[in-house]
Amino acid sequence: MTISCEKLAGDIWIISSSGRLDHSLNPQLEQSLNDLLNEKQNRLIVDLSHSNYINSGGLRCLVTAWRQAREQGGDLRICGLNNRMEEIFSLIGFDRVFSIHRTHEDARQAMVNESTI
Amino acid sequence: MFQSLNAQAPMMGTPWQSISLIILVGAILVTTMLLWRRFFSRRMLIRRIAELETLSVAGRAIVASEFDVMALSRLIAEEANKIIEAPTFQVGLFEDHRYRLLYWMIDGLEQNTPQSYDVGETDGLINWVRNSQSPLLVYDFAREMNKLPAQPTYVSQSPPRSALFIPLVSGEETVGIIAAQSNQPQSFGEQDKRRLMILANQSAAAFANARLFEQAQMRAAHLELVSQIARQVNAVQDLDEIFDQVVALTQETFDFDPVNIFSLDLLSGDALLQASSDQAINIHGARLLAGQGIVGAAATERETIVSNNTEQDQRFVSQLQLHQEVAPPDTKAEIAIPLIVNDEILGVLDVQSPVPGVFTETEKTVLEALAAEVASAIHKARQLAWQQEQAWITTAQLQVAEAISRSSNLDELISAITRLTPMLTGVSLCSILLWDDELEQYEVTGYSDSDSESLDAVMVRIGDWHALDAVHVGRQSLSTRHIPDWLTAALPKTHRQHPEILLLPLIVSEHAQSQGVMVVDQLPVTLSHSEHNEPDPARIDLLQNIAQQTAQAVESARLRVAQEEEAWVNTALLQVAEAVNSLIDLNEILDTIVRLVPMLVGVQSIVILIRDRDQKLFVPGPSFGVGSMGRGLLATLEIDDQEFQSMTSPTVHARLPSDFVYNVRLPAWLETVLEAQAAYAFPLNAQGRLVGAMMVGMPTDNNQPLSARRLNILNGIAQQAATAVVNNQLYRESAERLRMQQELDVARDIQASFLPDGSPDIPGSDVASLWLAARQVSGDFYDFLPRADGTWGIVIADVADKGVPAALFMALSRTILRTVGFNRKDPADVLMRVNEIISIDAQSDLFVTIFYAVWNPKTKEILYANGGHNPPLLLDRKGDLRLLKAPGIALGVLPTIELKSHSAHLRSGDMLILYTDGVTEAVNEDFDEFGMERLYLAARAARSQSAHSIVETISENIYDHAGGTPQFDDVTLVVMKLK
Repeated sequence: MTISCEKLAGDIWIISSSGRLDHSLNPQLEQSLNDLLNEKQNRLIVDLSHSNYINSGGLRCLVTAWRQAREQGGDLRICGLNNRMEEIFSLIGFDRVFSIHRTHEDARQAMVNESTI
Repeated sequence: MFQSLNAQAPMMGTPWQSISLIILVGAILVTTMLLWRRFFSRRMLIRRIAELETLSVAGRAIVASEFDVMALSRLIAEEANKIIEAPTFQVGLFEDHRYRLLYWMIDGLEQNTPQSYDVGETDGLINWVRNSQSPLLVYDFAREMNKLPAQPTYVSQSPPRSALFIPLVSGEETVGIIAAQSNQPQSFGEQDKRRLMILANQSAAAFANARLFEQAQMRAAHLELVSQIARQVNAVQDLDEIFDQVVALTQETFDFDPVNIFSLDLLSGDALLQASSDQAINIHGARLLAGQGIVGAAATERETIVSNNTEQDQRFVSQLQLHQEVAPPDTKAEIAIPLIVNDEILGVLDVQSPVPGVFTETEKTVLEALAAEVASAIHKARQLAWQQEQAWITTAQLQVAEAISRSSNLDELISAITRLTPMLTGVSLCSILLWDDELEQYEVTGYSDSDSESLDAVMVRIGDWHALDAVHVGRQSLSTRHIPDWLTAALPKTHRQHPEILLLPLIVSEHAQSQGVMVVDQLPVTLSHSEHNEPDPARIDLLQNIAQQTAQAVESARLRVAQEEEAWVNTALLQVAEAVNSLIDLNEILDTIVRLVPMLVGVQSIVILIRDRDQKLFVPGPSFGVGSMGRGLLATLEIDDQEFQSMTSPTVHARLPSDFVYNVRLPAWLETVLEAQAAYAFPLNAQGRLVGAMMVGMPTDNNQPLSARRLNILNGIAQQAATAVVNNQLYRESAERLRMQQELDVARDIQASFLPDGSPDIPGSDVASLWLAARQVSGDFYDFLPRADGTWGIVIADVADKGVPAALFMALSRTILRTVGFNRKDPADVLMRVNEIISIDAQSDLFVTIFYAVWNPKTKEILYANGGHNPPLLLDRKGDLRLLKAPGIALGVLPTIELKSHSAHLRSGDMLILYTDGVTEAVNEDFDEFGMERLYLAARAARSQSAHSIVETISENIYDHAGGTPQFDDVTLVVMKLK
């Protein structure tokens, strides 16, 4: 039940969650994302490969962060969704909001490519 | 001669007549002879009797003369003169190898006697007579010289021609010789020899008696001398004086030199010189190693050792080795006698002489008697000294105890001890270093010399003085020559050259905390222990005793102080507590506290800062002792958390395990406010909250750190102030919570009133609903919109997140949807429009998922669109399931979205179940979700029942599944069943 942040080359950050993203973990997720965005670290990849559930509060965190990242000229990408998570994202239509990748490497590559274009 | 006459008689009468004649003549002759012989025998007898009479008179005279060998010798000579005539006559006695002439007449002239000659091992006539114990008669030296058993040694100018030597034999010993000599040959005959031998036998016995008597007399005389020495020595009580007297008196009385007295070092067995008749010797430090010399041998063997020829004696050690700077005495003979009392060897009496062989049995006996007296005198003196010392130590200890009992506080106690100790023990400095457990350092609290003010308030920390560290850790007394400057300065000037300091730990018992260290300078070396050149152990014992008594007294004094302080602290805190409890208004309470603190603790000023939790800053509360300018500054003061932390640094305090004190680095303005240069801040902590700080300014004239007692009080007061503040806050908070609760209840009521009747009367259908908020207000809602064309809009929605913002967003969404839904028919169109309107409000981070359907009761047609919500379940009469899926996205995320409407035809008995994720995601304690499967199974099982019953069944199933797990999410459920 943790959120961890790791910085990659090109000021890209990977925020990894582990455990159910519900009322107990969401505040941490929100804090981590807020901290990074406050530092103008806005090239973010949220790796959800170790989470099996996200509630609407968690989704709200992601949307808010995504919005802020975009406002700052950055982006927030999602990766590592399992079937269940994919279902949740698709149900709520967020597969159309976020760029979703299979792995964080894919996400990073996409982010690098996007910035070079 | 007579035998030869008798022998001739038978040879004369051969013829008978002639024989008769011959017989007659023979008879006459025989008769004549017999008569002659009888006459002659008678004459002989008479002569013999006369002779014997003479001899017996001489013998009686000799025997009666008694015991003066000189007089006896003269008497013998006189008596002998009556028997034989001899112009040269001598009477001499042997003493070992010497021949001592006691009477000597040469040619009728009496010589001076006694005269002594060394006869040693010579083979002269005298020695021959002595050794053979036989008389020697020389008729004529001139003729017999070659036949003599030994050659004469002449002392006289005119050598004698004839001589008679008679040994004086007593027992088996030749005690002397009587000799008669003459210038004429043939002066002495066998008869003279015989007579003189008789006289000699009696003389020998008389000499033996006389000699014994003389020895006894000499011994008695010596013993008298010994007893005189003993009397003098016994009159002396001081041991050193005894030693001096013994050597002096022995030397004077017996004329031996030198005379020494040694004591024995019990540990090493070394013999330590205590006194010597040789004035040139410095006795200090003079010692013979164990077993060394004649003295060492006597000590080891515990018996008298006589060495009459030291030059030949391997054991002998000359004084040179004992003391190299002094020329050795010319010692040829030495006697060493152990001084023993009750089997204990106290020392050795050592007597030396330049005369070889001087220590005979007599000297030995006498000196042993002397040694016994000396030993007893030493023993008595030691016992007396010991008793005196014990008495003195007891008195000293009593004095210390008395002084301690008279002291009413620690200062008086220390002062008494440091004043008394030098008087009692002879040290010149005594200081007490008290251990301050709190500050972890030693404080010099007393000193004996009033001039030593350099010691005032000296603090000694661990690491400052190694010897002190060693005592601190080792808890044993220690002596050192490494002395810190502050202590050297306190020493009397005379002691500053080679100071040695003794440190004694003040320890009550083995495991007790050390109260400190007593420091004294080197003890004066006492006389009785001078041989060690070390302090008297009895004095060390006394010092140890004083240290122990001091430790006990200090401990109890400190305990008393601690108890008094504790009582005082309790009283102070009680006063504050009374103030806190008797008042209700926080400001009044704090005001009372700030007025009490300077009085109770003696601080200069006090300010209480109250922390404003919402604004995260400290604002000043009541203060005291603050000047008008300071009050002006306080009026506008605000310190935010960061500033507060930057100016305070937490100091964990040893005595206050659970609390800590801030040492304030005073900013200039705060210095002005508190009118102090040092300040402390005490956090106001209660129930886990930092609610403020109590800052106290210290009086400017006192730069000592706050004592533990004051810290304790201030901490206790801070605790009470904190409790008062927290109680006040809690009171306000609970009032606030109550108000908010009431407001939320109102909000819930309002929100609930938004919701339509859960069972609207929609033609051809049976509808039931469930709405459960996880908190007072919810982000879920459902709605039923009766439209103008007879169709019904059916809504189920879920605002992301919960609580008041979600509830407000829900209200907004519902209103917008209602408005849009009344005017537009197509559900996708409606939701897209709602999204647009919601998204205009870009401030909100919230979004909402909405399923919106339009139900036409006439056509049984349902048209629907989904904004990212869980697809509703459609169960037919048989229980078969279909999900009303329609792709979409939650509203409020993107500014514009594209949705499409879908339609479905419902038949009688079909059942539509709309729900929020609070239903399917309700978890049990294993985080196992209720899930769509269970929802479906529950609905299917109850499908033949009314909508209301179905809702209840599903609700019960959810409750059963979740068990005690609290409801995290809002739960909303709508069941519409076609008749």
